[in-house]
Order: sequence, then C-alpha cells, then structure tokens
Amino acid sequence: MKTVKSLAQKENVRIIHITSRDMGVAFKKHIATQAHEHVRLILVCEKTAPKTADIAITLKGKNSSASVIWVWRGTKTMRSDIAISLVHAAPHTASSVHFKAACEDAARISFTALAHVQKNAHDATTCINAHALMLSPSAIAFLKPDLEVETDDAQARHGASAGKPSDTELFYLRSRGFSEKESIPLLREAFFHDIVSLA
Amino acid sequence: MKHSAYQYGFHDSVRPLYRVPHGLSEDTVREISAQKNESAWMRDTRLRGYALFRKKPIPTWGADLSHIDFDAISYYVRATDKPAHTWSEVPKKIKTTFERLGVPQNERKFFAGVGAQYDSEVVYHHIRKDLDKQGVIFTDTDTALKQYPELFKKYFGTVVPIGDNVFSALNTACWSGGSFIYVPKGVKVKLPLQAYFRINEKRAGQFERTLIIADEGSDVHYIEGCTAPTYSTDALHAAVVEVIAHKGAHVRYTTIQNWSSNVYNLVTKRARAEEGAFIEWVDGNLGSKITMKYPSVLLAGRGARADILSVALAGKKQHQDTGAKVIHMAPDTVSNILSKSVSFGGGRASYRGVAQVVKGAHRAKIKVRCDALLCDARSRSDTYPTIKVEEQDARIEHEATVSRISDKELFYLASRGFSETEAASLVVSGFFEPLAKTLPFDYAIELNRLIRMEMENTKQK
Repeated sequence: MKTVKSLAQKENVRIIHITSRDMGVAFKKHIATQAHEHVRLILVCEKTAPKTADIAITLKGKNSSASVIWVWRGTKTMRSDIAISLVHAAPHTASSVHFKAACEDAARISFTALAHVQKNAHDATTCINAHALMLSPSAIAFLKPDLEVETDDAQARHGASAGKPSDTELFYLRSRGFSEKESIPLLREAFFHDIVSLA
Repeated sequence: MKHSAYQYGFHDSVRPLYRVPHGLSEDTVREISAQKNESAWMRDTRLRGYALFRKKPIPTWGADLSHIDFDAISYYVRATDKPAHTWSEVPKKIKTTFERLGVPQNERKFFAGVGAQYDSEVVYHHIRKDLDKQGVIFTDTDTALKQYPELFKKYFGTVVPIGDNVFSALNTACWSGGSFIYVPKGVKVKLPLQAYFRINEKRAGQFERTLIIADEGSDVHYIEGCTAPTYSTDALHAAVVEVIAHKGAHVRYTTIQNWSSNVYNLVTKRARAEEGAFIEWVDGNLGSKITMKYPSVLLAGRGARADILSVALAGKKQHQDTGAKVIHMAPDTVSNILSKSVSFGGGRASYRGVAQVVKGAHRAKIKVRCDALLCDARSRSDTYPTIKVEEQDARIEHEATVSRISDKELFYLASRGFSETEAASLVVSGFFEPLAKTLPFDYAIELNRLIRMEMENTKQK
C-alpha cells in the first residue's frame, strides 16, 4: 500500500498540514507551483486562530494544481481576517478552495478569496467554496469570493453560504433524544465532514 | 471583421435654446437653478451637492474613470421651453427622432403614460386621463418640484443622500429632468409608465433625477430606455433614482440601457421597501463605453421582498461593471439576485454585489446567482460578491459560474443548419431569456434583435 510520502514523491504532490499553533498571530504563505506539481494546503484552526492570514498561490507551471482546505472553528472572541489569492499563470492548471467556518459565541470571520485566471491560462479550472455556520446570535461572518477570468476556455465557479443549523436536522436529533446542547456539536461535525474527508 | 453599426447613432441638427458653457463651477450650478426658476431650498441643495462633489475622490475600484474630462462636459442643454402634452406640440426634428426610436407608437400600444427627455429637459409628457383622475402623479421632476413641493421635499434625497457617492453629489448639483411618480394608496397602475432618455448634443451630460413613491398597497411598473448619438467625444450620464415603496406596495423598475459607445453611464439606483413591500429591479445593460450601476434595495420593513435581475452584454471596448446590492434591515425579509453577463469581442463584464444582513434582521433569506459567458479569448469576466452576515438565523446562498458557450449547444444548432455566429446569437438570446420575459412582447423581440445585431461578426477566426 502506498504511503502518503511515497505517493508524494512519485506524483510530485506536496501536502502541507498547518494548525493554528503553527500560524501565529499573522500568518503568511506564498507558494509558486512548478510544472506538474500538485500542492495541497490543509489548515485547521481550533481554539486559536491567526488574526490575519495571507495565502498567495501562483500556478506558474503547466499542469500544476493547488487546493486549500481550511477548517475554522471560532469560539469566544476569536477573530480572523483571511485572504487567499490564486493566480493561474499557465495552461492546464487547476485550483480549489474549500473553506468552512463554524462561528460560536462572539467569533468573527472575514474571508476573502480571489481566483484570477490570466489570458494564457488556457483550460484552467478553479472553484472557491466558502461556507459559514452561525452558532450564536453574536457571531459575524463576512465572505467575499472573487473571480477574474481573462480567457474563454477556463471553467470558474464559486459558491458561498451562511446560516444556522437546519431546523429539520435539529428536530431530527431532538426527536432521537438529544438535547439542543448535545445536537449542536453533532451538527457542527457534520458541517465539517465533507471537507475533512477531502483532506 | 467589423463590429456591427449602432443603429441609434444618428444625431439631429437641433440648435438648443440654451446651453451652459462647458465645465462645472458654483456659478454654473447657480445658473442652472436660475434657468429653472427654482426655490432657494433647491438652489442651496444643489450648491451643497457641488461642494461635496469637489471634495470626494473619483473611485478607483471598478472601471477606469480616469479619462473623464469633467471640464469638457456641458452640464445643461435645453432644446425646448417646456414639456408638450401631445406629440403635435413637440418640435418637428425632436419628434422625428422619437418616432425613429418608436416612442409614440409604443405609447399607443403599451403604456399608460410616457415621458421623453431630450438632452437636459423633458420635451414630452402625457398620462392617461383615468390615472390622472385616480390621483396618480406622473410628471417630470422639475414640474413636480414646483407643483408638489411638500411631497417632493419629503422624499428627495432620503434614499440616496447628497453625499452618498461622488456621482450622487454631482447629480444633486446639476440634475435636470427625470420622472416623478406618486401612486396613491391602493391604486394599481395596470399598464407600465415609460420614460425615454435621449442625449443629442456633443459632450453633453445628462443628469436626470427620478423619484417614485408608491403609497400603501399600490402597484406600478416603470420602464425606461436610453440611447445617444455616436460621437468621437465622450458624454456623461450620471442619474440618480430613488424608489420608496410603502407598506404592501409593489414597484417594478425596468431599464433597457443602450447608450452609444462614447457614453460613461454612472448611475445610483436605490429603493427602500417598507413592511410587506416588494421591489423589482430589472436592469438590462447593452450599450455605453463604461457602465457602473448597482441597483440596490434597503429592506427596511418586516416581510419586505426584493428581486433584482441584472443583465449585461459587454462588446468591443465596453466595460459593464454592474450588479446588485441588498441590505436586510428587518426580520423575515427575502431577496433574490440573478445576474447574467456575456462578454465578447474583447469586452469586460464584472458583477459587483453586496448581500448584507444587519443585526435584528432575523430569518432573512438571500439567494444570489451569477452566470457569465465568455465568447472568445479576448474577453474578460469578473465576479466580486460581498456577503456580510450579522444574524445567526439568516440564510444566505451565493453561487457563480464563468464559462464559454457550450460546444454541445453550438454543435446541436450547427447540425440543424445554423452558422456558428447564428448559433452563438441564439444561445445568448436564450441566456438572456429571464430578462426578455419581463418585457412587453414587442420589446422582447426588439431586445433579441439587438442582441443578434451586437453578436454578428464577433467570432474571431
């Protein structure tokens, strides 16, 4: 069975795990991919988070790709200002951002992402998904996924949503004997489940 | 291959009755007010607008406005003395222009009332007698200021304040013309009211100010169209539209903008919806050199609703920077934004939007969808949405796609005998179908015809 390391070596895949402890107060990460290189950035913020985070990825090499998977769980008065930039500067490149934030107590998240596909980035694909789960009346979310596309043979899309746990799902758990206090953590884990499985 | 000709690019050799010299100064503002014989209140409001215009910077986000030469624009051009109420009273050359544009013919077929503005002033205004008797007011804004000063003062500048942005300040300083509509409680205006805006003079500015007040339970649909001659010099259109929908009222505001390629179209449009009110913005942008326009709704009352449809066609050397803004300020409010854009021949279409839920706007629901088509490698598409949520129980969804015309769709049509360009035009017309179905039938046909003309000869070999 291939290990992650051997897989990475063989297929030029770079997997970078970063937790909030590694990020500090102001986090910066700039990456430029080479041809046929695949970068996966997995970030997890729980209990603490950087006040500012600036990630810039330039897909310089042909057939390279980058994906950013970010789980942000905000509690108490946690606040983060996150900015992600993806620049497609070569043909046949692919990028994706999957960002999910669960905001409890008085947490605040500000998320901006820009995917820019340059003129020469033929056949590029990019996708930005940003979703916020609001778990408290005092939580605030600001989401801004931007797209700039300069070539007609790229495929670009983004989606964003913000809302509280579904009443239907909450009712389902309550009807199975869970209190509201017990249901919320379950729903929060379910919210993160799909991107955790991507990682 | 040549870009097809803009069919409204002709101009009239009409000598204006009065024209202020180029450039804007405090004296120009005073002169405009004096020409209109206005009250001290309006003159002072204009001067405050001018002072703010001079202080505020020109925005550097959005389209490139650095080439606008404000000193080369003429801020007030009057072709006639006062608005006519029958077409026979309108000066012949001006009437011929509007006949070429189809305005009188459409009035007979579709509309309950029509206003026609030529450069800075409204030259024709008419409303059906039955509506007049019901208390519906549909007149030009200058007349409304004189005949209904209390009503005018109550609402003017309440939705778009003087200092809202640099172009609302400019409009406040030199506004002229535009429509004033008041619909009394419970009155439903079954046929649309129409206004048509035509710039004729070279280097002219048109700064109409439209104010629509729909009282409780009323219903009105307003349609406006705009065209201008093609000159080698630039023209400026900086309008302000304010709509107030009281409790339970419904207002639909439709614009088909087809300015010539030398016009800077910088418009502030905003509506305020009170409890249970419903506002619809239908915004079609086909022309102009640069358009920056983001129809907005403040959902200020419980249960208010907003639907915004924004459609943009960006061709050669055009930048359509359009979108929509919704600010939810009350509980149980709902809004839908649908934005569609097509870029071809090197054009650039940008969607810029705001979906905001402020504290107290419980159970607000917002859905935003943006679709963009890129027809060739020279063109560009951007999407800049902003989502700001301050209430836990709000629900906001946003999605956007950018892609080229589907090869499968083109192949299907080509296999049925359509040429590649005919097929592309059909696909684009289908893409804009949500806009076409909101229009009177002949307008929808005209829209499809315009799209076809604009799409001809754009396929790059």
